[in-house]
Amino acid sequence: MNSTALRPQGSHGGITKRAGGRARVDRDGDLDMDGPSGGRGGRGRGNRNRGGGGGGAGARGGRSGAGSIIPTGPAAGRADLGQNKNRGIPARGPRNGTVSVSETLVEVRITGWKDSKGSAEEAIAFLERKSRIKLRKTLKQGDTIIAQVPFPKIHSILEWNDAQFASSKLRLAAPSLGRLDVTERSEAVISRANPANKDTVDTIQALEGVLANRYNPGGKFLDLSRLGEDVLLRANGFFQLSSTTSKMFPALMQVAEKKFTTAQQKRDTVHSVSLAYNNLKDVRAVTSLSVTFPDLKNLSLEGNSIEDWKMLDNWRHRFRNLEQLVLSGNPVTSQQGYVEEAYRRGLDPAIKRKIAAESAAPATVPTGPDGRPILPRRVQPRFIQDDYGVGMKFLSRFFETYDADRASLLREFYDAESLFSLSVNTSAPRTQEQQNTRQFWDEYIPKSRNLKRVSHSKGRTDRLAMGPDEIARLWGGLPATKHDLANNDAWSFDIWPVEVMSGVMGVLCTVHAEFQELNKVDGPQKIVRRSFDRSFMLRPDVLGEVKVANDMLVVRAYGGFDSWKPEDGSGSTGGGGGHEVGEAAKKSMCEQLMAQTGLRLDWATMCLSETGWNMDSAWKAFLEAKANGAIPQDAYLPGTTTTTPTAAIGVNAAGGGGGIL
Amino acid sequence: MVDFVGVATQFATWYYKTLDGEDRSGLSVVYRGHSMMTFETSQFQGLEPIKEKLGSLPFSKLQHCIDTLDAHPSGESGSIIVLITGKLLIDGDEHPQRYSQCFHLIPDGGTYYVLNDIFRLIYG
Repeated sequence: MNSTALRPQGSHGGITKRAGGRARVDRDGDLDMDGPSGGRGGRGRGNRNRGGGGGGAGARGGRSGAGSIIPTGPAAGRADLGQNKNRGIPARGPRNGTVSVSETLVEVRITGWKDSKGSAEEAIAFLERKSRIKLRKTLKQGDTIIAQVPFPKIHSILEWNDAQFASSKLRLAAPSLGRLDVTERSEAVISRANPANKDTVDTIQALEGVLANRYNPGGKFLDLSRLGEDVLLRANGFFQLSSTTSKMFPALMQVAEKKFTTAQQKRDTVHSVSLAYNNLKDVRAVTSLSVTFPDLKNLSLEGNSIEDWKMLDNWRHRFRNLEQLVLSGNPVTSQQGYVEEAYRRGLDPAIKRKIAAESAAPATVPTGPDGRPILPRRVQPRFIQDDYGVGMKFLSRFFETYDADRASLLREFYDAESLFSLSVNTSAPRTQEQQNTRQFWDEYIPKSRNLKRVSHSKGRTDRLAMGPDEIARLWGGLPATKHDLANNDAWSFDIWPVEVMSGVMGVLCTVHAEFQELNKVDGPQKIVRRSFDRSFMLRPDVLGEVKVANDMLVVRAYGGFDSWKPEDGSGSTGGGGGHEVGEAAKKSMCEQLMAQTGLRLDWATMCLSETGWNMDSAWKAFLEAKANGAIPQDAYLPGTTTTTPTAAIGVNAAGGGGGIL
Repeated sequence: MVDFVGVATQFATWYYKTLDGEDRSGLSVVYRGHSMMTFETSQFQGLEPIKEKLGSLPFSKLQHCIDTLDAHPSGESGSIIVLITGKLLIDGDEHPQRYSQCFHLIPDGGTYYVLNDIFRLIYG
């Protein structure tokens, strides 16, 4: 079933197997992806074999047999490559008929100068002087200066965001940056790494040479260790400036990226990467590795200078299929609480002891055939990960503020591409007490975008608000609301990390809860109680701030919250299987409670087992015990602040009992 | 831009028709190895756990009826978020349950798959 896909356009979901060639490695060990023509040039669709890892050797064999490599040559495979159309076209020299990326201009919007003592002209001169970049086509529009900057320089100018200027701060943003084409971005990344006196073509050639030298086709292994000692990189002047060093790796990854057309190719060609002994203090500079090789199985960071887990934060949720991660020789492994933290971050409990042994005695690290250490660490993706914090923080702020100051939410979390719409479910059932009350939907119905009912395209378009202005207009027409954040039971949340663009993580939140509104339809004001369902897709903007990509609201008659209220005791509702909590669920609950409370594993386990593996009861028991001073300091993971619980509002998430099944 | 409303409505119609039909295993074609599903308070990740969950639903007869459906395009990658509320009749029970379900659909090779599927009963 792996190789099937839904075809929403009406055709049946069929199995597509791609015919294909294989990756070819030439005599010099060069990484040559231009394999023989791959039949119809299908994408890396069909043949993923990612589920569960149950297949073992048989499955792996099957995969490499059927897995095809699509030619990356400009003609082959390009015609129907869909979203990948811009990949795999080596940018050698100027491309005829297209504008080189270095000439593409990107719009920069500058604000904040209005509050300063300087003029717009002085602000422009200031920025040009500081950044040594000429701002082109400058234009004043109200409080905003709009200027154009060549693409390769855009990041250098954005570094001056928040710069002090004449007793004020300048704000710089490039809202269109996110929309730039993949090829343009990739070329820009490469051009930023150009050493002095080299152009992009030279850079690509040099980096291609580095990749070829360091790829071991037999082991499907890309050895990027000790890059600082690389003769080729040194000869090409990549380490003359510290800035070229940090930009070299992203450029190297872009060059690698260009070698592949499909995810399948990458999976088949590179299984292991070593970044050992690169003096890495954090992984920011090499985050691009996870974009280029998201399906990597083995990764070594041995012998770097990673000091604590925070430094690895940029790799959260990346490398979903990673089987081994080598961290030995980094300061982090000698940290107190390393084992607990490794566990909390989803490392397999079965090998916990081995990690413990390893942190005590690094000499026991097993080594692979090539003498490289192989650590038995399985990094497993988790449901509620650290993005949970981002999601909860947003939701708390959102619902605290929504009642009193919707405008400030729009300024803080919504940008030109944010979408909002609402639907009214008039047929949702009501609680007993609401049975005979009129529902007064008049203020909602004209805005409702229930696609089951609104069939004309104008209505569908008009009722989808885009950007803060349109959303403000729509929200402005809705009744005043009051959300009761104090009543934990009334709220239900689900929060998931989601990849919103290649390599960019966002968060999907769904909320079910209630509010009271001040309704003025037909005469005097009255308070109407309603239930709602709301989904948010959150993404980072260019500056890394949390923005709402999508906000979808369903408003319905008040239906109470019995359906997600935890059923105390054994709320079995018949049917085979019953309510036994499996080991996986227990593990997930432990992790969740640890994340919420900061408790160590043994305490979290105890807390849950004593409350019958019910998440909500465990949380309550924790709060109670804490209030009574019954939890000693050493019950917490190191670095945990014990004064405030991490969860601001009640949570009904993974694990717990209850529910209809 | 793709007709995301069309995709969303066709997807939802197909999804519930298959779920309510004879062979629920047909649903697994829309999930992938990294898909995630929340079914009430339980979470499942990966094709096999999701298939297992869908295959082990202890109801012989399901009947979904969509009350509201809304869809947004999300991000540059062409993914779509679908938020649905509706009625759910289980084993011919005359009192429907109410549910909310949120799908995150990802385009892949001219088709779409479900990355996230979050299901909750909202009135029981």
